[in-house]
Amino acid sequence: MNLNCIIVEDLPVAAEYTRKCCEKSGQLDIKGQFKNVEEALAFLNTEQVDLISIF
Amino acid sequence: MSQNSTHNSFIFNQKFDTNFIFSLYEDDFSYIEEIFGITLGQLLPDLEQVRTAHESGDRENLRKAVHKIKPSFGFVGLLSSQEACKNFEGLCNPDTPIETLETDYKQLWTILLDSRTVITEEYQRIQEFNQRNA
Repeated sequence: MNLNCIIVEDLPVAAEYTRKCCEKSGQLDIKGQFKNVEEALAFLNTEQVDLISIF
Repeated sequence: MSQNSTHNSFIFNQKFDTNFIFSLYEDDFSYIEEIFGITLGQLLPDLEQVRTAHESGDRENLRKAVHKIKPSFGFVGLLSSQEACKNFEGLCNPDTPIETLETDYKQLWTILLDSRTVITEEYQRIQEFNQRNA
């Protein structure tokens, strides 16, 4: 069973790289990608995830 | 043009660390093209931030702007440019008047503009390579 994750990263190329790595792992489902903590927190107010990738 | 390594017939400009690029993206050239495109899109506003921070004479903002632009060079394997940013950041400490950084800033700015040019050229070459191999 895959882990649900979100990515929090303001640098677009870093976010894209992280997203690709998550996809390639085959064990992570990306539920959201956010540019800052505020956006991520708004998402997490209504959704649950197993893993947060934040830089 | 000098070259340093080949992979699937594509030869990167020697300014790029080819082994580093392939360590990140393997031989996925569609992905490499995408990464170069994203990086270029981000470079323009980031360069403007550096220029604006320098013109305002705010050393801390200049340091932050250089810090922000730095990782973009790493993602395209332009490690010397990334290192130049890191070195300049190191010069921007609280005890250093911004006026004393002028020579170093001019050198960095030249590197940043040259980097944008070489990334643009390489992006075009990767696009052409991918179109030929589509």
